[in-house]
Amino acid sequence: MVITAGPSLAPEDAARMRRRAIFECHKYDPQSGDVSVLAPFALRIDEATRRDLTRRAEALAREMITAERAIAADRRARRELALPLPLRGLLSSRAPGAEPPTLARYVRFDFHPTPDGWRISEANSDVPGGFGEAGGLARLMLPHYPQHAVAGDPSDALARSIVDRIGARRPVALVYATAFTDDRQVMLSIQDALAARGVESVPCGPDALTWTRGRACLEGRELGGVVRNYPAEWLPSLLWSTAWWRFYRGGRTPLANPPGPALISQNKRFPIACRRAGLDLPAWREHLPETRDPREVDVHSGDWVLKPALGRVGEDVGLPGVTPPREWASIVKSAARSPERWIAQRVFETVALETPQGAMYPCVGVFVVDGRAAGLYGRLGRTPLVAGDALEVAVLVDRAPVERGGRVARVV
Amino acid sequence: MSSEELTPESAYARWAPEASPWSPWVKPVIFTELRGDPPLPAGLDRVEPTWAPDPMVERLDDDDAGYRDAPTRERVAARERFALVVDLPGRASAVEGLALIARGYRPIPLYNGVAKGRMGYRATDIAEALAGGTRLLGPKALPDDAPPAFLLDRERMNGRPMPGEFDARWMVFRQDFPSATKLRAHGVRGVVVRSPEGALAEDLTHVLFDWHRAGLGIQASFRGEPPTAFEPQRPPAYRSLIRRAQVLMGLRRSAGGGFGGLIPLPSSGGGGG
Repeated sequence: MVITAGPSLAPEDAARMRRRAIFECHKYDPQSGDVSVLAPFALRIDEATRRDLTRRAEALAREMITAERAIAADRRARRELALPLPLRGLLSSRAPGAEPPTLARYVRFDFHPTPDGWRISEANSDVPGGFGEAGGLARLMLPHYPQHAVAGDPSDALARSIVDRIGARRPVALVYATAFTDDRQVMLSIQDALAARGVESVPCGPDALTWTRGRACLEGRELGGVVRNYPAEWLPSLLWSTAWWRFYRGGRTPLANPPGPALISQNKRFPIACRRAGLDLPAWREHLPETRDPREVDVHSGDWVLKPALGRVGEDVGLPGVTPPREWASIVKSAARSPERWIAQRVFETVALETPQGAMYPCVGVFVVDGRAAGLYGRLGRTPLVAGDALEVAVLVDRAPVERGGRVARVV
Repeated sequence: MSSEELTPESAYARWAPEASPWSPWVKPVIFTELRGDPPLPAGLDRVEPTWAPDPMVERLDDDDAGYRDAPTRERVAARERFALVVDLPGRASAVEGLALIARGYRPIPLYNGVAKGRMGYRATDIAEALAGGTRLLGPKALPDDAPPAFLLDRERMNGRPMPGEFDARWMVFRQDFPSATKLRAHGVRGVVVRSPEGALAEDLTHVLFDWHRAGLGIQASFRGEPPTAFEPQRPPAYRSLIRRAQVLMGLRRSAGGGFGGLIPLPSSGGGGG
């Protein structure tokens, strides 16, 4: 693998790119505390690395979908997921009512370079973010990097899948938690891509939908499909009268990322459930570090990361030696109190890159839409824990066969 | 405003000029709600933010001055400078921010709501005031090092939506503000909060306590009265996982990695589906 950080843009170019990212790509959260989260430079990979990541991500996605079905049919395996009570029955393949048809299936695998090759820490298979950054941000950076290419646009790939599945006749609802402006930006990126293909779409909250004989409607109009950016485990917090359960069972309108299967693989205890179901997933075995129930390991050994089963964006993840001691102690305590809601994952060493802002830890998210890789979302952490305060960075593919000069580091 | 058409992007560029160290904190989303080129907000001329400490002082330079000559007077940055947090309801906050320009403060809008739903009018009103006030932010309106006045809508959490309504509420987190280290690096020694009532908003207390712990002096001006020293109390569940758990019950971080407030609708209770 070759992954390098490119040279930084001139300050005025970086400022212009930031403004364009805001107003053209709906990037409404460009600052977090003292950190401007948009990197003023690109991550560069070579074509062979892009192909390699594509192959790996597509293999992981194939296995994931097979495993979701197997776990849905296996009660003992499902119990390993420690799901919220209202969802336990709904995820069973024997629950009454059919699962809604699938409009599209998308997932993002975050690859970390290590001395032993690429590793992932989980699948973002429920509501992955980074659509605008993977497509739009890379396009804005491209003019500053001649002889490079963008590695795809997940918003466009998703829009293409939707049009292939349902055409452009009926509108599509883009369901998200409306109080979150940064979730809104994901929806607006997808809305732009759908509009470019002639599909009307409407961002709205999940409770804005009404259901008539299992068909989702919005303001009296029947919908052609629903794209959901509202986390699957949050749906039961809605009023029962909103018929939120139609997302899981009995809905007849095609859903992108149906929440039932997505919640199985999004759950950090997915590998434990796979083991319980007797599944062997070679790609997952190759890429995912050993994952255990916290009760099975010595969490104080320094060899294990602690993660909540339904955590997101790196929240409450405890990484020995990186997480501040008080926070780590609190996480250990929480994991000891409810171990069935946590996992212990073996620590893996990530490789730092030299960047214009110093040594940073890269993470390359590969989107897979309906089985095909569809864009790269780069982040750079100042610590090996790539969480909410990481830089977001355009990932470009270097089309020149020779390694360039400048701030270039060969990882392996 | 001028012959130049006011667009969301051009307005944002005025409110967040590259030369100001506080521009990165300007929240962009409210600028997407700007429409047209409205006049200056009505009533702006009646707003006198005398509660805000003067960030500039007058220095008399009397070296070599003869007894008939008046000493040279010069306005220079005060040694003790303050950042302001204006936490007033909706449009009043934006208007107060515009009035602070004449006082030497750079208004930094932190509004994070959109003009949708039953309560969306708040964002519309704020956006209109900001659009109208953009003309006050010419290139030479403020020195680059003008201290910041962070603008919030005190009613950001008002208006629990009914089922099916767009949730236009939002809240602030520590990550929405510069750190105490950053403020100090630009000469800010304290913070003055302008609030309409005798109590501060809960989400803001986490930010103020953070700054207070880091050694910034905090003052509060309630109802526009002169500011007095204010010692923020440690808010319940400050920086704790317990708060995170509470957040998971009601006010959550975004699934996408940013920040905002999600308030689920009242939990289940009757009705058919």
